[in-house]
Amino acid sequence: MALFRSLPGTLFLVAVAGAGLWAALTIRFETELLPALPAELPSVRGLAAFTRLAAGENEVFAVADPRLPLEERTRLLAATRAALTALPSVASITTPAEQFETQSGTLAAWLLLQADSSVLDGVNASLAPAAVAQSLQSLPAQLAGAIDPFAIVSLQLDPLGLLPATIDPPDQPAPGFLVITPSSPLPDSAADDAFITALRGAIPADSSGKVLLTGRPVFNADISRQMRGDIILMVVAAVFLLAVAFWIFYRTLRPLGWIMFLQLFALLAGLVAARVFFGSLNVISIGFASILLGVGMDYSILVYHHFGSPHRDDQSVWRTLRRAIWFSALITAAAFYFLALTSFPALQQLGVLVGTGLLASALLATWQLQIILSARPPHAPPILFRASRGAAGLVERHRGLLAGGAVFLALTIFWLQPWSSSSGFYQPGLDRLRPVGSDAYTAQEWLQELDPAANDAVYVLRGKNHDVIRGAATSTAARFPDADPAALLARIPSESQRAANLQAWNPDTTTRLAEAFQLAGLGPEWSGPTLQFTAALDAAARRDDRAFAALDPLLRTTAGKDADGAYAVIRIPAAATTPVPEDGWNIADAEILPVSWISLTQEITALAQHDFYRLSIAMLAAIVLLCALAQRSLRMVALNLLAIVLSATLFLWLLRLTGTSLSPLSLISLPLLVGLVVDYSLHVLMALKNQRGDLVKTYDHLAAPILLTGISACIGFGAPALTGQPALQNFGLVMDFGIMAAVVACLVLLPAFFPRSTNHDYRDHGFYRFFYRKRGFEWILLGWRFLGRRGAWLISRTLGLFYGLTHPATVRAVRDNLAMLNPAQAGFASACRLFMNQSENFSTYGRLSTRPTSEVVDMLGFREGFEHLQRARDGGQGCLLVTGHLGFFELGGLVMAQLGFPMTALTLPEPSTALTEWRADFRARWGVETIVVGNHSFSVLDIVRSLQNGAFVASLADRPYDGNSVPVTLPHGRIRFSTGPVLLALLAGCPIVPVGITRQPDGLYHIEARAYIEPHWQPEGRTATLELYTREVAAALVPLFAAYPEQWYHFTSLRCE
Amino acid sequence: MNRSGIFLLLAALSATGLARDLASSDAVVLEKRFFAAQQKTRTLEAAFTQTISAHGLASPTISRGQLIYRAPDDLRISYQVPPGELMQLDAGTFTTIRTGRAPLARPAGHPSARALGALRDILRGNRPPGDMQVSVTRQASNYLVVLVPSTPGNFQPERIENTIDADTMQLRSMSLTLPRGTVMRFDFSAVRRNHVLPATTFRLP
Repeated sequence: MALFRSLPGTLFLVAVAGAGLWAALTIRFETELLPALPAELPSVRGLAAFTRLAAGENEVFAVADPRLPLEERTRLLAATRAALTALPSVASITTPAEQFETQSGTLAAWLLLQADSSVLDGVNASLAPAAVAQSLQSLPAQLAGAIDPFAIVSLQLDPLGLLPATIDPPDQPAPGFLVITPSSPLPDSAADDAFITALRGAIPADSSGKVLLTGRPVFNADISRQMRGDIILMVVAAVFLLAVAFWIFYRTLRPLGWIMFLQLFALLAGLVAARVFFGSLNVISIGFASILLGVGMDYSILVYHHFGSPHRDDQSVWRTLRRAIWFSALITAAAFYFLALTSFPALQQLGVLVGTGLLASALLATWQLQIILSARPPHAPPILFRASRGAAGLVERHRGLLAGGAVFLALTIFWLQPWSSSSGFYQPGLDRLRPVGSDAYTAQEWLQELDPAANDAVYVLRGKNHDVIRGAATSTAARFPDADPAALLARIPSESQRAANLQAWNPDTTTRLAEAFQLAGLGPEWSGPTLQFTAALDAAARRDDRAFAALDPLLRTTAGKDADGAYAVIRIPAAATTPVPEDGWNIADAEILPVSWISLTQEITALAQHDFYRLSIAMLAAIVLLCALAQRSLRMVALNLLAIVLSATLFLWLLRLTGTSLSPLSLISLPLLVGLVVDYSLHVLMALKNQRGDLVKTYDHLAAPILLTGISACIGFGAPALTGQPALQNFGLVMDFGIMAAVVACLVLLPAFFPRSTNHDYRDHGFYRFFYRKRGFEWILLGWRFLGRRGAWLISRTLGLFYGLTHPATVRAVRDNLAMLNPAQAGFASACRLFMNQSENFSTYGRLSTRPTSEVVDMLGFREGFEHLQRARDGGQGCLLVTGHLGFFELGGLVMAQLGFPMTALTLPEPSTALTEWRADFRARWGVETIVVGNHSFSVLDIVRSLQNGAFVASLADRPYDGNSVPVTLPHGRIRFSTGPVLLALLAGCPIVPVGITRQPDGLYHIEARAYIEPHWQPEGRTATLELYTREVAAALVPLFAAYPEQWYHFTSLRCE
Repeated sequence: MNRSGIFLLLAALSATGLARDLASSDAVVLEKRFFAAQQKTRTLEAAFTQTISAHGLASPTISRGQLIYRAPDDLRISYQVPPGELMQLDAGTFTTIRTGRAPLARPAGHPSARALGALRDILRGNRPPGDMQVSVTRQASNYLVVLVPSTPGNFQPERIENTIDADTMQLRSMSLTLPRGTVMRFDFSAVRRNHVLPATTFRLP
């Protein structure tokens, strides 16, 4: 097999396979969403801390559907509890109310220890022997009269009236969830999975769907299982769809097998990068496999198409293609690597994964795949090339329309205004990132519904001790008018207050009280909670560390200590919608971490926008640099940037039309698209340049591969839509839209801006072909009628400047011509002024149309050499007025006619018959006849006859059209002059008067007749005669050209050797 | 579910099911009959004896008083033994007056008012909220209705027993078994219905 005959190649594949296998076996799955977000964000840390500290890492919650009636919920939970309690893996099942009720006395004792000393003083007073005796003796009297059952039960719980009001027992039964504690810790996702599977298996059938499990172990088990499944699903789906797409284009699958084989190694390379740099895959980066398959296959498809085309043996094409593949791989990989600059760990991982995989894909495509396909070249179906040619023809025929449409499209970005926050393109809500259809998330939402404080804002406060945290809690509460600081502080320990209160407590209180109850004849029904209360305080006073151990499960949810210090969880009522003050907290010695998806959304949004701008600028800079290196042409770089603009606008329209919006993750991924756009534009532009603008040949090479690579990339990014991860789905959809926009922009619109061919003939350009028509002149007349002189002046000069800015090849030709007259006046500015002057010439047609014909004489200023013209007229002969494409030569004929000279203009056929006729009719208004010079001898006879009849015939000499010309010398070069006028004069026996009409700074025109030349046949013969007098004519006209270079209108280079 | 126990006449509601192990269909008929009678009640007045027995108390605590109801919202329980104490519930307020303490007014939805609220629902002829397991037996000239709440809780009665006169549909007695073994019993007598009550009946002292 050709592939394995290359030792370095084989060794490379073996190394990648080995490292990839190691990575696949040792990589971890990071299942939670929070680690995928920036850890430095306060809300991320708050949510993570709350989950870890307050919710319990190993606890599972069984939640009943809150939409069910309370009685039904209770029944289902009771049945679930009975079933789960029997499991050996379950240590205990409680409810929050039970936790409270069984430990109400101990909890009261704990609260009392943290309270102000005055509260304990009151309790101590109530526990004085006399007070105790009196309270117990008065019990029967308290039960008489107006007492309700609630008061009776309360009295039994606290006959001495010791318990603080802040621990009012819950007035509802269990709210609808169970707290399940496992028998042993759950160290990893495998243990989570085993525990959760056992629980789900034991839940009664009629509770199924109505009682769901949630909690960290459930998320871990579900998401890690789902992640594995998702990866396999995405890869299988992507492979299948890619195979279908490949077969549709190339009608074969065998080479696809090789391509997929090599892509597998690219995947392994990416996996190795993830394992080495991160050690894990998160819920976002699991999409890398299908993305890499779709995007990385681009290079293999390009290589396959090359070897399947008739040009496979053209080494220059292969070198161009290989170079393009490498540069585009570098650019696209750079785009992905730039994601490592974001603040989002999820995207950092994805970027490194895919970037590494892309480079490996490019290497394998241009190295290994090339070996395979060279040995057995494939044959692409001929229909591909026929279709490509047809498409190229279609694009060519509508080049102007496509260019105009592209410009209009680009301008619509000002209407879409994506930078505006009200445009709707960006929706920062993080709810869209949370998996749908997940039982664990559904149960979590049920839990929040059941929480009576669902509208509270929750915070995790951190400090070096709880006294500091209590100070911070007070400051926090002060920021919310409805917050009660006392209620917040009640459940936060106070080291100082505890120490002071314990000093005041008698550790033998329980013994004394027990005796008092016994003396009063009251059993545990009356004394239980009170003695539990005092026993806890006695134990704490005796420095028993386990005095409040029974409260750990309850207290952990509100305050405690861990390796990072002290923490407390506080709730501010009704503040859930605005958890963070606009001006921040301004609290120095404690940290306030919001436990809020609302504040997280705000933080993520700000960060995503910051990252987006930062990445975009870095990406654009990198792309400009790489494109400059690849193409070494400012114009090509500009065209690449144009491709980005067009793609971006198309992309925005796709979003708008489909109602899709960007999430924070997909927003940050947009710079990726820039890399992908340039991937395509680079290929197209380099191919166009290589083919000298020949779009048919370019499409032969690239149309099918780019279309297929676009489809494969869409498949790669779209496969994650099959997962249960909305974050990936939105990311994939956004990227698909971007790729579609990129393919259309680069394959269809961009070629319209590339010069059609390298001969740079301005008459092939769209601008000339569109405007130099009869309709163009009629628009000029219309413009003068409605806009007047100033408006016409502005438009004409703007159009002239626009032409100069958009036709660089023509500019080069003009500058070359100007350099032959005076190199110092051959700059870009001079060329632009030339275009503007010519544009104003055309505009003058409008001016002429608005005035009486007789007033054209008023446009004349200085007249010089008219004696030559008078001499010719007085001689009764006709005269040949020879000029160049200088000034407004058309005006000369009109003026001469108004001055009484019988004028006839010679003209070549215009690009259209309609224009020829229009200009002839225009001249006719001023009495100027027109003879159209063609390739037939009759036109010559007409001209000679006119001359012999005394006509003054105007002719141009400086742009020979029929090859009859002689070279003449300019100050810094040589051009060819037509010998036609001299021949006509000889045949007609009339003189030649070289003339020029140029516009002066005052706006008037200067007409200058330069000489009176009477040609005679020379004895040296026809050629010598024509050369002699043609050079004499040129000698008279060239100084005029040199004097008014920016009115000498030639748009192809006239230079001859 | 009322934390103080669905009370009293949740019982009375089921007070309709007579006959030992009265069939549930018959119980429903009786329930309708009972509620129909209640809905015709515009005023009601009865004397009662309140007996509270708790473990550890040497003897039960006995109180006596008068119950007065005026449809649809006003319900007063006033005590002669001990004198001067009362509980009164109207549309928005639950007021308690106890000897030696300031009058205490709380919202009608307060947990302490649930018992009286349930009683009022029954007097209105409505079934109070809550799910109960009901059993009805016939005992001589009375029906004994036993209710056990489906949702136990630390502040709810564990059992309610009601004795209803089989002919007049009047409540003779009610017994609430509270957590920790405490029993609260009411015995009613001298029941008057639909008589004219003075306008100042529900004026608070």
